[in-house]
Amino acid sequence: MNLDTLTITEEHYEQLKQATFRSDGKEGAAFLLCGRSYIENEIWTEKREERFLSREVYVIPDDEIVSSSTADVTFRHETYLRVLKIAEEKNYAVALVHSHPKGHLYFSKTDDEGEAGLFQLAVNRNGSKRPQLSIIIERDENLLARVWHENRTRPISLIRIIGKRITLHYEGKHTTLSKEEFARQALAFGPALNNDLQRLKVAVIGCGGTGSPTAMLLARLGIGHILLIDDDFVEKTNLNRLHGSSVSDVKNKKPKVKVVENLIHAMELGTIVKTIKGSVESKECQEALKSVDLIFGCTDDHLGRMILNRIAYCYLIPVIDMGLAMKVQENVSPPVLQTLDGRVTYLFPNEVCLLCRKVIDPKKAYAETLRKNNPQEYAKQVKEEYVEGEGNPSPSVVTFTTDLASMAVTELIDRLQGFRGEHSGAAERRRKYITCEERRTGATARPECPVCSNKKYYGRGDMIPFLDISL
Amino acid sequence: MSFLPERDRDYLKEKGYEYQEYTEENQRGIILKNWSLPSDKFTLDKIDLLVLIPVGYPDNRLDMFYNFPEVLLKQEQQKARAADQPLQFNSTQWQRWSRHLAGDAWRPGIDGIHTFIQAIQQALMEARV
Repeated sequence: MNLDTLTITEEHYEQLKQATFRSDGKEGAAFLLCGRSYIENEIWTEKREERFLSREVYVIPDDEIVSSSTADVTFRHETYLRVLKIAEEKNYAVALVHSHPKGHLYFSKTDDEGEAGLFQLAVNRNGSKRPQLSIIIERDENLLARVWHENRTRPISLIRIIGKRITLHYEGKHTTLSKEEFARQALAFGPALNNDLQRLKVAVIGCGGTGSPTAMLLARLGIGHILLIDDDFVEKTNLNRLHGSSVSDVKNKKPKVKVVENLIHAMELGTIVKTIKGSVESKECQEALKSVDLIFGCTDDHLGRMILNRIAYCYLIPVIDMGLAMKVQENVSPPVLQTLDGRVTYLFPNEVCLLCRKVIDPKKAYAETLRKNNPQEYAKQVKEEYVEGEGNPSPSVVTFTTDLASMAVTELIDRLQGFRGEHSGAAERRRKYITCEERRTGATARPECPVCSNKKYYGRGDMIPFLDISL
Repeated sequence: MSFLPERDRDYLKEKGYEYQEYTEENQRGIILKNWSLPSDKFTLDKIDLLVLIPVGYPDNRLDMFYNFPEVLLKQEQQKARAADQPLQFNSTQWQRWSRHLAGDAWRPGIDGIHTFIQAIQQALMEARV
């Protein structure tokens, strides 16, 4: 199957619909400038994938439209050349977007000829080897897209429209029969959801207390492809909450990713599982993370969170990040719990990021980084009290870690299917386990935040260095 | 391949700094060449300035700075306070300035070389025994 895919933010999709569905019923057109994510060796197929990420909508002004009818639209070539220039300066891919009447979700002969001619302009102008895209929005809100390269077309196999909701467009979404194993959830959510879940590629970062139940739930739910990342081996004190782990795993020094992988395979649901025993910041993980549609952050590693935080905005890959805060009152015995809160945060363009929410503690991140990369210097700085040493381990209990994982995976279901209706779309929820309340947490982005405030990185895709962060 | 964010490369280029990126086994840094020290304060007028770039920068903070060759305060003929620990980098021994930004002073992602340079200049101006 072809591996070119396209992600459009809901914001851009609205702009495109406005530009292409004119009030007089005639066809309109616009350009979508896209950042690019190129994967040499996609982790699932080991083939190359090119992903196009919406970055900017360029509406063709009325006075530049040469003619428009209910069947097609033509515009001046100068318009296209101007857009090309912008694209070249910033290495964007250019997509031509236009609408088709209801029931016409296919590329017509007029489209084929018109586009071939138009894109040839780009090649003639500067021998451009850059791919060009063409997107149709049908009045029923279905989409179709293809890539033009060297005078030939390739279909785009998956279009993701993401914002408050995650909507996937691909062949067979409404026609493929969903598997009997998942019949009971089709009764709740409809069969198309099962097809979406099968299609999805999801990464679980951290396979511990929250990561192992997250992965387990995703597999049972029918997610077709799961990537597990964790650098640790099973230890005795993990056994009270690490799903799938046993005492033998401790003796055999089993990596956590292997424990969770085995747990999933034992279900025999056909889930494709990939594992990386390593750190999120490694090159191997960088490439792998570009190959997924969605990420669950189940790690309390601050540097790991910094990376996931940026990926969401740069690569338009939603991150559902979770954290459990369990604190006891100081110097009290037997212990008295003072805080017992679970947090689920949804990260994506136009939502407030983890840095602005202060979920990432920069002092801890700095200490972690130093400890990992330069243990000598770390020991020295802890001694000199410049840097905080590692504190005591936190309390952790399986009922809460599992409940939190469940809350996070349910958030995915709602984003895909919308069952919560008007209650959907909270960027952050906190569940208070002592008082049994659940709240939506508001937050304001720092006005100068380069990640979430000024849209500079939204859909930017590949950069040097990766995510514009030093790794 | 550069490990310095695009924003910083653009800044340093725009301001005309002469710099280079260096990668070692467990640390990375940029060396700004021919850095002017405050006039008449130190035993040299120009040095090379090293800033180590930690993994996670600029969400992760910068800390301390280093110079080569070694300098003393001109008047007292001594090293400034907390500017005495050596660091091996790029086959050179550097003089470390233990200067840290106060508590929450580093704004993750927002601050960077462009703001840190000002903190360095401040530290050098205020240096005393």
